[in-house]
Amino acid sequence: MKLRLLVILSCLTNNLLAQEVPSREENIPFLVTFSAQADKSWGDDDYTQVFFFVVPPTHKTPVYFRVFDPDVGGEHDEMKGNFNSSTKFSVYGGKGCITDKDARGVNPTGNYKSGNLLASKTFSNDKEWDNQWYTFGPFDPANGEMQDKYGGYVFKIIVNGLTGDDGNLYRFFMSTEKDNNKPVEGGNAFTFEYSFRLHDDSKQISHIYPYVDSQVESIKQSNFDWDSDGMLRVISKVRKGDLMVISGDNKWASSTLNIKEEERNSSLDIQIIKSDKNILKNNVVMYITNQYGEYLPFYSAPIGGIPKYKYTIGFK
Amino acid sequence: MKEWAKIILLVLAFFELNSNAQSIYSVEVTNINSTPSDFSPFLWNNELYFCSRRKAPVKSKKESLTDGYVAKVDGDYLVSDAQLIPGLFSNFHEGPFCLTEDGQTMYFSKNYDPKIKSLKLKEFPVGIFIAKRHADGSWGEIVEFPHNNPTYAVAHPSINNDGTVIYFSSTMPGGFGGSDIYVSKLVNGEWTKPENLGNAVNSAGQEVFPVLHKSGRLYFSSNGHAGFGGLDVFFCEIINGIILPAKTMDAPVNSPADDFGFTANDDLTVGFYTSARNGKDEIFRFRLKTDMLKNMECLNFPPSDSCVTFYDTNSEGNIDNRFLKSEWRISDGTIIHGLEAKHCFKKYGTYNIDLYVTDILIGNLPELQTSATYVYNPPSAAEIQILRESIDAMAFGLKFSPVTFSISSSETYEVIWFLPNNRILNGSVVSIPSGWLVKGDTIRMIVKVRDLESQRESLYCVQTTFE
Repeated sequence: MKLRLLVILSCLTNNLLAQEVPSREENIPFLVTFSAQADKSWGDDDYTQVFFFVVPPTHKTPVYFRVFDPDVGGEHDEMKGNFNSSTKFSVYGGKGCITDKDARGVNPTGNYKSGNLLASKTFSNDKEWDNQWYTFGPFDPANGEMQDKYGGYVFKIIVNGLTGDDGNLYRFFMSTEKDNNKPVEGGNAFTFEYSFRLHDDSKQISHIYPYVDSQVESIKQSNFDWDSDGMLRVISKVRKGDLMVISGDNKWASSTLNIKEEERNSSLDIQIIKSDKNILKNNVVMYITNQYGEYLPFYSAPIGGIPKYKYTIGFK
Repeated sequence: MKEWAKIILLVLAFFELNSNAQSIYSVEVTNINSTPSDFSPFLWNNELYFCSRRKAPVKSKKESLTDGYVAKVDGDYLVSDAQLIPGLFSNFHEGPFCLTEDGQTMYFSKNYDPKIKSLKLKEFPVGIFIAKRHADGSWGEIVEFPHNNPTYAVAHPSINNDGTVIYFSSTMPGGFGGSDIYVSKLVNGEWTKPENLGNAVNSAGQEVFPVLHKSGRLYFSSNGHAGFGGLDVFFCEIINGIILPAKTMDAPVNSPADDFGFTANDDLTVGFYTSARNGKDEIFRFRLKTDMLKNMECLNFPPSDSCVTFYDTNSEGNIDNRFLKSEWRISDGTIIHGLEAKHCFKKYGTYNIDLYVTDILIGNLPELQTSATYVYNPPSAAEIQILRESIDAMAFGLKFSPVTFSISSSETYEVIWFLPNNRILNGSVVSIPSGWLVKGDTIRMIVKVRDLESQRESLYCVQTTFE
């Protein structure tokens, strides 16, 4: 089982830029983390984002974790009043990085900062890094936490909104080079709670890809502060498009879905379709749990490929 | 016009309509008929033996008696030059006649004097007699069939090729009513006790003039089975000793008048029989329209249903299709919108089915999702079964076996077999002498379906190779 999962993870991410977060397949403009004084109704429920990166065991050379526009200010970030905020980016590896139970939760509580702190930096309104890439590393892949379940060495990046009330919009890239975005072959990235910015353009469709393992019988999705801005639709190879409940302003909403046999050990495609209400700068949060209350990972590069409903023509 | 005349005219008009509706037979009166009557022909090689009530060219012969005649038959089955059968004329009625295959022995029925004093001439019984051919072509050495009985009629003999099985009609007690057909076999020089052929052949009416054809098929006439009216010519197949239910010959062989006394060539393409349709017994010739059948457009069996519904097999149970619009594009140019697409194909062939889907939620154009190929071919609606059961170890059977073929209550059908050497048989089951087919021969079966209302006919074909 572990070996099969390893093979699946390694061979199915080859053709996707998995370490670009958000990925091209997701079509999400930015990740978002507000600082601790921000109003939650602006779209961040806990001022924290945790992302995991997987380096396949076959990759022996150092890796870098790059952050695009890590500052809080300038061109992309969401100003509330004046830019007065700071955000801390921390890189973790080593034992407990992912295996600690709190690390796989969605609340920045308990021992969620488990593992070894490998690097960190706090950014404020730093023009130097506005619209630029900041690079953490190099890191020896072995410095991550080796986990067959996830297909390799796992690193964790925690983003904490510290002082202020502005929103920090940024992206990640796991690279083999310090100054360029060169993907780690076979690598991937995932999170258990996704905080991100929706497109302003209602014609843009975004996607997130939760992975459903063999033990999942049903899922419950929860989303926050969607402002009733459009629809959420679930697609799989056997599901044409079931709608999911979306939340209103500063509210949580949930809905459940029974998982079909054919959907296990594969990814779902949650399509994010905006309304034509012209809602701009809409920030949202989402997570999914299984019937045991365990959180499902959202992979930047969907495991098993982008799920597409498979039509099969029959006749009678 | 009297009512009975009107009825006859209507019946004849209906019959005429039927006969014009492309029968596989054509019939015509022969030119050997006489004014009184002529009947019960028997074809042997290039000779046609028959009964006639014409005035015999013999002074001692009493008029209005039935005498035996023989005529010449040319290659086109035209008959001429009818002469009295030499050696058989008497002061009694003679005929019908039949010969063994070698032509040396003749079986015939005639009235005879049972030597019962109280019996008047007109009450003399009819029995079967056997004659031998002399070297000069005359007939003599007449002996009596052992199962004749002065208290009932024993008549209309038909002998098999080697003279070991005889069929005849009789009014002997114990039958189904009227005259029935019996069989007797020559075993160790003795004719076995006659056996009634049973209700596959016999009825409460009259079953008369049996004729065993070389193909093994037994022809006879009856007014007890459903037919065209009066006596009609029927036939039944005998497979492995079992007599299959009788079938009527098609019009215009049969008519509302009496039709009886059938004989034919080996492959049943030409023959002779008696019909009273013109007001008196006359000898007719029938021909099977082989050219018409061979040249007629022969269709493949129609499928039971040319309509099919395409659907997405994964959609069952998926109820949320609100935002997805399906469009089915079939390579015959048909476009159907909807979750399912019902389409009736007009022509056999291979078709491409493309399923396009428009996601109206995201406003895209129709996108091709998947394709499939649908082959619309006629199913094997019917098959030819070759029955290996033998009849006297000399023959086997061919059977029309419908698989999905069916007809409606307003249709009728007939099965016609085309075998090598221009042999044509008809019937759902036919028995074949072993010499008729060799390995590699093509057996072609045509099913002729007629719509009883429009009289339109269609031919459907199946063929197989004899192994």
